[in-house]
Amino acid sequence: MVCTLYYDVEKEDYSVINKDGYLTEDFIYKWLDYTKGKSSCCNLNIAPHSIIAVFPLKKANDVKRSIDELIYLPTKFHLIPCSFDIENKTV
Amino acid sequence: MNLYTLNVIQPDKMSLWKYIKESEKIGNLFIFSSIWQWLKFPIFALFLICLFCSIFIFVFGTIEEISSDSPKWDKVIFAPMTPFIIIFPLSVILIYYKSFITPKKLERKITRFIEDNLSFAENIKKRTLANYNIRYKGFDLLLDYTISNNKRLF
Repeated sequence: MVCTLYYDVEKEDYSVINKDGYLTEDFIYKWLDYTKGKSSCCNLNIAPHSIIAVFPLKKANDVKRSIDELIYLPTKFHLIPCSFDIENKTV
Repeated sequence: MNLYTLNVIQPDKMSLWKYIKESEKIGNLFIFSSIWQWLKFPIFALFLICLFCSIFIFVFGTIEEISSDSPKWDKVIFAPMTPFIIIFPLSVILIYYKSFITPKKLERKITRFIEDNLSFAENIKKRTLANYNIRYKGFDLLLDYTISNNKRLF
């Protein structure tokens, strides 16, 4: 199972996602620095505009901790979490 | 390894050709609205394949028997039935399992995962059999069932 949090960045802010749409090297180092060795982050992956938590369907462990971490990360890295209409995606 | 989210598709308004093309893609799961729709797509496609095999066996069997010294015409008549006697019923059982039983099993597994691991969520909205919207502490998350490219769903 994959749990995804979509995020956006401030307009004209290229510190996280560069003009080509890729994650910047600086940001990747910061991300690795923060997540390294943390058990709650071992399921988490970062991509441009999304943070993804991957869980096995069977025997998933620490889902709550990972999701708590997932929703903390936008605050930590100054990202803007996107909201969804409960019916339609409104990113 | 790539992960693919599962696309739940209702093939009611598809053409048979599009159905065959879509069924080749990884991560497509067809949910049939009725038995008629099920008969219309996979079973009809299977029927055509079996028919083609039968014609093929019949034509080549006939050619071979004509050229032989002692033609066995009973073989020419019965051999083309093999696809309909062996392949067709077995495939119908497999396709039925894939079309109706596997989605239910999958849905049960996902429901159990949500009940066991995501009971803390404030709001869980089911979009499709394998896709959910979750709201937790004011954040909107998407929960999707995925499969990897080295493991087909069925």
